[in-house]
Amino acid sequence: MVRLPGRTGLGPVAAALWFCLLAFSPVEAQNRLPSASGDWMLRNLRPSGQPVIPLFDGWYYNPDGTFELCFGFHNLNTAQNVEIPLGPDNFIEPARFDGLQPTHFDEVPSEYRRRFCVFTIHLDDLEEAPAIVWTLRVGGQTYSVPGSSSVHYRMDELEQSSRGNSAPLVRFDGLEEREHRGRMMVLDDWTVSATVGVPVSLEYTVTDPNAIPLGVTRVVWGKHQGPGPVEFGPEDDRVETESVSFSHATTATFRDPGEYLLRLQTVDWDLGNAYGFHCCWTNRYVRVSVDEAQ
Amino acid sequence: MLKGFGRFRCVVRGTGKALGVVLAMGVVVSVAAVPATAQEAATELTFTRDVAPILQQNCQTCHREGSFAPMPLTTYDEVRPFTPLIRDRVETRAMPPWPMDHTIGIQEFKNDISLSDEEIATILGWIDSGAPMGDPDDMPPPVEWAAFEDDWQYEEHFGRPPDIVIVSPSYMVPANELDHWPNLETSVPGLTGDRWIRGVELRPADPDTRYVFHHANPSIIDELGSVGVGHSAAGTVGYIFPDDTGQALRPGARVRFGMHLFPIDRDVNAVLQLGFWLYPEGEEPEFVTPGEVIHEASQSTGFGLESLSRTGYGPARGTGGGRGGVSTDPQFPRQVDLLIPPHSTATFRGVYVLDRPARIHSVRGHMHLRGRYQVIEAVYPDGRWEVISKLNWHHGWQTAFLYEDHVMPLLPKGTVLMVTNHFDNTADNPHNPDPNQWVVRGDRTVDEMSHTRIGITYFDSEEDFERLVREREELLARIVSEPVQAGG
Ligand code: HEC
Repeated sequence: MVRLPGRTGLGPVAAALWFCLLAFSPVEAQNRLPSASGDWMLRNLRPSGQPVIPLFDGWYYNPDGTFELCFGFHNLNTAQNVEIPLGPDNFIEPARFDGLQPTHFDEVPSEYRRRFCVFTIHLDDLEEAPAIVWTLRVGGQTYSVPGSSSVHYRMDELEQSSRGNSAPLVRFDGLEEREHRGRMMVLDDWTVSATVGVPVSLEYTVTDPNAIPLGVTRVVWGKHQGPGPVEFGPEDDRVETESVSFSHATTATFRDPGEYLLRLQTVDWDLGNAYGFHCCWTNRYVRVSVDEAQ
Repeated sequence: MLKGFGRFRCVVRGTGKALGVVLAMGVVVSVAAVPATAQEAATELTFTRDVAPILQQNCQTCHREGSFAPMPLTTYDEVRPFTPLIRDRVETRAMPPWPMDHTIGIQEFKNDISLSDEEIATILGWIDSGAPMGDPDDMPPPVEWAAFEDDWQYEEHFGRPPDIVIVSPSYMVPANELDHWPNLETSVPGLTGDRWIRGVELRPADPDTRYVFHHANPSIIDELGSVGVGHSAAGTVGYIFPDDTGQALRPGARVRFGMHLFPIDRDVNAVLQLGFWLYPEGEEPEFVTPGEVIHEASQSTGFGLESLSRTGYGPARGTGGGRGGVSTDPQFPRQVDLLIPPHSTATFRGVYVLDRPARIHSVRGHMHLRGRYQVIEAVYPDGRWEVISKLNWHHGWQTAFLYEDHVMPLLPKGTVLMVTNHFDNTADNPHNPDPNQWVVRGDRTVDEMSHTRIGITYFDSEEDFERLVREREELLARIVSEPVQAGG
């Protein structure tokens, strides 16, 4: 038996050129891919023209024994935000769960590449999870992801004792009395009014639920739904503080009138990598009703 | 001999396996050994005479009362009901757990616990002929196992218990919770000057807590930074460095245990012991190893990006090598870009160009539930291409494979090291929790990881490297002129 292929004629340079090749072979056409099989590469990030992949992050128990399913996405474009309105190109089945998923997909973040748990679906029975499917159609291709009831997809929620992470309390100042915590998608009954072209101020307070210093908090604002572009005012996406709470304000400016849903994620980033371990953070959503300029 | 994990083979292993001796820069010489003909012996095979000794030597470290495998395999009555399962696990080489492909790449390891072809033929032949008990007088006396607390597996290799034992802070793992990932730190006592590590072994302080350790990655922290040292996971005992090589342990050093713990059905206190065997005080090894250097399959370096390396593959290498060198180009592939479509397989390859000569003493893979295999290849500067090892990934067994000294790959400067990882996100993968999912990178076992830890020594001097190559060639010449005896 001879194990050495001998001279292959393949020099290191040629070998190096194959770097990071990702070959893939589809077994089922259920989720079709952006391009014909051989083209699927690890280098699937491009400035533009790439799809958005819907992702199922996992599920967690609510204190009352019901369940939340978490979904996120991976926009494979480094310089292109993608809009996919609700409808035939962006829908959840069964239809009663449809409607609260994002329609705006920010370009890939430079550091963590994905958007984690941007919305949740509430279930009384986890066995329903695999039948819940979020579908996006981009560039004529279909990308779907179902929920999963597998125990492997269970996530910690609110606290992760071994790493000492916990989801912060978040309150929108002047809009509500009570603070919210955790990833569950809760739509409040208040709406912020705004006018096209006029920055509206969004003030919020982040507090450590255990009244210990917050340390590092990652703050991620994004448009969740709405007809036109939204520009957020400058804000630190990483807040480091020794105190148990901080208050911030950002602004949002709208180009087009209509109904918007904005998303604020505040992540306990003390040990870094809260995303890798899928805990812990708080999702908040702000409804904004935007009128034409007078 | 090592207890249970015994058989530190000094030269080349025989008995039915084709013998491959990988030499300097990938010269492979094969000596075919003659397989025992199982059929002719099958009629006479008995448990007491033929099978019990194999089980004693190869199975009972784990399969006995007080150890951690599901059932004891010490007596005929214990073994008999399991013969169909044993047949399957032995024939498929799933047991003993040694997830290294035996058909390609280097086959000589210091810690090989796999069965030889002859041993496999004996067990299968015995089962196929009705699994007779045989003469009770043939039964070897039971193995006397050391009490758990005295049992360092590398003690026999080094001829003494570890020189320093470091105990991790106790961590309470609450019953039935999700996985815990604590980082615990402790100091290394009694260091007055620089010392050099020859070997490392990690074990749970209490055998009952074995199940809770998914892995623990200890690292040594000193003023120069943090470097990985040893590893604990099912399947891994520790490391034994080559006789001329050591890893630094400096006064003031601390050890951090990065753990991944699986809660079980009751509260347990997880404590790890880390044993170090050291070079004698005042003795410095000829070469210094940074230990294991991570090579990501989903990310490459070595394309002029070394200067950007923060974690060490480039000039400041040492603390986690292949991970460094992230390009500022947002499109440059990174480990976090790993994405495997549903019902698909995917292959990632990371490529690393060695900026100086090196020697590999161990490999250990790391993937999660969708991982199938990892291939480590070298393309030498003269264009020759060699498969160093192919790891058949099994999430339950994160074995560190320690090459025998005489087969450790010697890689000249300019060698391209390639780490190729293959994932299977189809229903054909029995470990796949849900083939409908898109798989991404993450720390949970449902998300994937994709790296190989390569135990490596870099040589700053070309002369040192050339000397090692010459010594290897001389050894090869000796082995070829004196045919190897089977049964090594
Ligand atoms: C390093 C420890 C270790 C060694 C050595 C080992 N086993 Fe195992 N074995 C295990 C563990 C742990 C399991 C259960 C988990 C698994 O199947 O991977 C197991 C499972 C098995 C099973 C399947 C049991 C079941 O109920 O599914 C069989 C059969 C088996 N071993 C036979 C053997 C035989 C025969 C040998 C020796 C030739 C051997 N094992 C050597 C640890 C070991």
